[in-house]
Amino acid sequence: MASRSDSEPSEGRKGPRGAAHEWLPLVRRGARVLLSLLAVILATSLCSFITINQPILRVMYDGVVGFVEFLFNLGLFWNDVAGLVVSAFWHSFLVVALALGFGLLFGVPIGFAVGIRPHLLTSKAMRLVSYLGTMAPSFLVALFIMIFFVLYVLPATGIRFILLSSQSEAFDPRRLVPIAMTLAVRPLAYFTSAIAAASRDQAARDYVRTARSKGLTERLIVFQHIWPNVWPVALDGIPVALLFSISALPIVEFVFNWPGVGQQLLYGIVARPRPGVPAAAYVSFLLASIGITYVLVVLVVDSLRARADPRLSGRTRDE
Amino acid sequence: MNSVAAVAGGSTYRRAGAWGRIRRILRPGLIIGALILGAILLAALFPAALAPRDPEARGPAMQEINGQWTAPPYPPGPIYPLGTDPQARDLLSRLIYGTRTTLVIALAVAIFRIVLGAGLGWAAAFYPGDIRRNTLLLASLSATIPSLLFAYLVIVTVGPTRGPVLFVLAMGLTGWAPWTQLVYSSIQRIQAEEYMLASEAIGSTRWSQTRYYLLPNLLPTLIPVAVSEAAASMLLLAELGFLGIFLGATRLVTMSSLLGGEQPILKSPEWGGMLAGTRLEIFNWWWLTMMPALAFAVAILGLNLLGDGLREALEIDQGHRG
Repeated sequence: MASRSDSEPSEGRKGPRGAAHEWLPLVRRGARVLLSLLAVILATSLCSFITINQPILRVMYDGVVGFVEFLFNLGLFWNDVAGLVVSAFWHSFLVVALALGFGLLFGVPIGFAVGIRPHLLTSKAMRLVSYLGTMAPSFLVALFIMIFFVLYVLPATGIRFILLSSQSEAFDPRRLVPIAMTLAVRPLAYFTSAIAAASRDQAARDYVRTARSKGLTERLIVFQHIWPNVWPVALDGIPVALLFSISALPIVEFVFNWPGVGQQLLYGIVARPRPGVPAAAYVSFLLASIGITYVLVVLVVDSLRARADPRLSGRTRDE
Repeated sequence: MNSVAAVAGGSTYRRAGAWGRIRRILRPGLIIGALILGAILLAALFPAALAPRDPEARGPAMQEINGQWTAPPYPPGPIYPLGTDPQARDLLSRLIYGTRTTLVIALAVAIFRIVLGAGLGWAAAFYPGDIRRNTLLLASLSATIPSLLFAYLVIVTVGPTRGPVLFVLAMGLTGWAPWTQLVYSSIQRIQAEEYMLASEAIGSTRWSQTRYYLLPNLLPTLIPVAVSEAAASMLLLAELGFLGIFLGATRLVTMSSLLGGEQPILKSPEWGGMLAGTRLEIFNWWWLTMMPALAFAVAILGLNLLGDGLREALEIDQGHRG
């Protein structure tokens, strides 16, 4: 019986199941063809919607041609915008450098003090303030500082630290102060938190416990043992703090009407910097100036870091 | 008897343990963040019940304030707690009604970034070779693009009148790279654990590995970051609003609107739109700038506190479980 059913499939058993067995690959193939057709129709339809009666192809063509022209005539384009880009770059460079300097100058000692004495009430308060500082929206900080300078500092000193609507390009170093203060808030908070965490971590290490058990003075332990292991963290934090400042540049320079790279980027996207100068080339050069500065700072910090930490330079030599 | 006592004691112990765990993870930051988010959600869900006035209703053309008849915008006071805009519309009501749009856009951007970034991180983790290399390279490239400038460029070029999809795309197409790196490194870390090797040894499918091992170990890392991502999206929305880019704009961005010379007339309230064009108003009518800015700041602070609180709570919880 079994041998019969295996060797010769009967007409009856072939019935509906056998037919399905024969039709199934055909149906599958048909479905696959239908799906392919559907995909082609949808893709064609999408292309039609994107291109017909839309200027996208012309825009793409103009964009590519403009880009190639820009690449081949880089020098000419640079001559057109060099003055504007260099001026914007120095305006931004000064405020960012001041902000980073301010952050390092105050953030590192405060963070160190907070980390060495973490249980003091002032340390806890500073930790909370630095935590809130890392979250503070730059535009809100800028608004508060602007109000402070215009409503309180100006009447008290008679010095105009902020020019709200003047388009004068004359450089006034006093205008650096409120902008650098605003940009310094996040780096300051970041350095304080990072150094406090590193100090707390180092203070709990075995070598500190051993030094204390040997009867060394607290001053010696703090400044000869803990400090040399903490300050390289500040170097590591410089690129991060720089990123904080750079990302806040457009909005802060916009608020203070400061003609730096951030503000010029915003304006360059909306309109040409001057008649005849292509906005895209201007924006490209501005972005490149910021990018190159960041990479250079990272390289300098890396080399300083290797010099500062003998373990790192040793590792480099071994490699 | 003994068994009954043991069971009773066990349940008592379990209850005390659960309560103790809740008390351990409830930090002030988590509570404050949850309260702020709860208030925002309430405002988004039931604006009509919370707002004192119709957001479009205009107040009187003149009003006596401190013995003087003044024209709108009216400053904060007993009648209008947060003041009014130049059309004499109540700012508090407009902020409450604007919560829904603002929150929905911020959440949509956060979800877009999470789905895109986490999906690519997932692909990089499970498909070694070219896919992994190209995905991680794409993420590294994307991480170098400033989100604010990219969103500003896209929305100004296409036109802010296009609607919410443009906003979500412009804000969500950058900022996803940290998710790719986080998900990729987390999956790599989990895959190196012994329980993953054991699950492979017993022949678990990829789906069951994902369901029973990967997701339960990934989510405690991802949930706090997701909450912070919503805060980052809200900050971006605030910055764009301050630059005159907001949902519901009826005209293109021009140099004069960017310089703060024009205040837009909004069709429907939205926090970013309420900030637009108010840079120079801060010295005349400070509440026009400060009230929406503070609303953004409180929301961002609440979401960040909640994210950090959740991170701490989950770390404590995992540490407690060993």
